[in-house]
Order: sequence, then structure tokens, then C-alpha cells
Amino acid sequence: MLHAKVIDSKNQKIEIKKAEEFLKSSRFGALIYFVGTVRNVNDDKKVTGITYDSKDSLVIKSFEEIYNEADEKLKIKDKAVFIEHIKGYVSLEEKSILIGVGCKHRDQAYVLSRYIIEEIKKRTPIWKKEHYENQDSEWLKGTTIEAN
Amino acid sequence: MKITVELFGAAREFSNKDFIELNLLQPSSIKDLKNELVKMIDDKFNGNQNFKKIVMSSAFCSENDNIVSDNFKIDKKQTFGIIPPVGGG
Repeated sequence: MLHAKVIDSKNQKIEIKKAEEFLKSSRFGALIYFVGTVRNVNDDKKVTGITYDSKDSLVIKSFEEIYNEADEKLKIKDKAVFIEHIKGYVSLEEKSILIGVGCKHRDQAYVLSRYIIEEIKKRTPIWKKEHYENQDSEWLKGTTIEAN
Repeated sequence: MKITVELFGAAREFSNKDFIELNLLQPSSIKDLKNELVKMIDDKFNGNQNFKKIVMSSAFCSENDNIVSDNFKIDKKQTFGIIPPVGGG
């Protein structure tokens, strides 16, 4: 069971209560929520906010692939996963990503949550433009995606 | 033939619009498309090396959201997305 969505910061926010509602089930004894937020310093530069860019259709495809791979690679069949990622401008402390996972046991939930965020970082087409206190801004370096 | 390239991430600096349009010979490949983008950077941005690096380190995706290789054949008018190195979260 997967919920995957890109949230436009202009008109929506990422909310943990939506993930709680989605993951609520007596089948799962372990729920983990990973929340990424905007940090105030990066590479010794004072950050005021981040603009996230996204190729939405490819982002959703990537979330679905990562979810399906967990079946084969991690052998975690019985699970529920909630992934929302922001696009647009977000200020300090605001949420940029929420990954909620529900599994039978805690070992599986920790492994699955970590797997999903690391794969998203490596291959999901989302980009960050950091904005700094001195009014500068900069697209951050990332990981090149290879064709299959 | 006219090829539209949708811009994302750092490649958005290539234009004020969300896309750029290029003319390629028919047939061409993604490698040819990259070379055409580099020529455009030479013309419009005085050969900006950072922009060229973005092109050369980017992947390209087709209209049906598949990442395509440098050898991918382009034989008709279509749209590609330029996918610079990614880093969400």
C-alpha cells in the first residue's frame, strides 16, 4: 500500500496527521515517520529557505519503483508507505519530505524507512535551490541519473 | 525537426521560460541534442562552462517518463526533459 504525492508549497503543506491516518492498521506493530526540514546552515552559509523543483510525473514513478523494489531487495512484503515531497519555496524549519512506514516489526520499519530516503536522494528528480542571508542563491550539486 | 527541452533544476537558468526549443537534423540522437545545447550555450551565454557541465552531467527523459541513453534515436518532433544531477530530501 503506497501513498505518493508531490505537494506544492503555494497551496499545501506536508502534515504528519495525513500519514498517521493512512498508516493506521492493526496489522502493523511499528510505525516510523522520517521528516526532512529546512536547516539554517549549509557549507558555512546561512540559509534562509530552499526552493524545490520537481519533475512530478517522474518523481511519482520513482517513488513507486522504490516501493516495489523493497519487496525484492528487503523482503518486506507486508507494509504501508506514505511519501510526500514538497515543491516550491519553503522556509527554515518547514517540512520538505515526509516518509511514513508501517511494518509488522521495528527492524523492518527502520530498514525500510532508511532505504526509501537514501534511494530518493540518489535517483528521484528533485532539485534544491538554496537561498542565503546575503540574498545569493545556488542550485545544489546532486547525483547524476544513469539510463537503464 | 523541432525538439522541445523542458528545463528542471539548475538547467532552468538556461531560459526565462520553462523550456527551450532547438532544431535538430532528422534523425538525431540524445548525444546530438546535448551537442546542440552546448552550441546554444556558446551562442547565448558566451560558452558558460558551468552551464556546459550541467548539460554533460544531465540525463534526459522521454515524453513517457523513461530515462533515455545518449544513443536514443530521435526521428520526430518531440519533447524531452533535461534531468540535471538530483538531490531531494
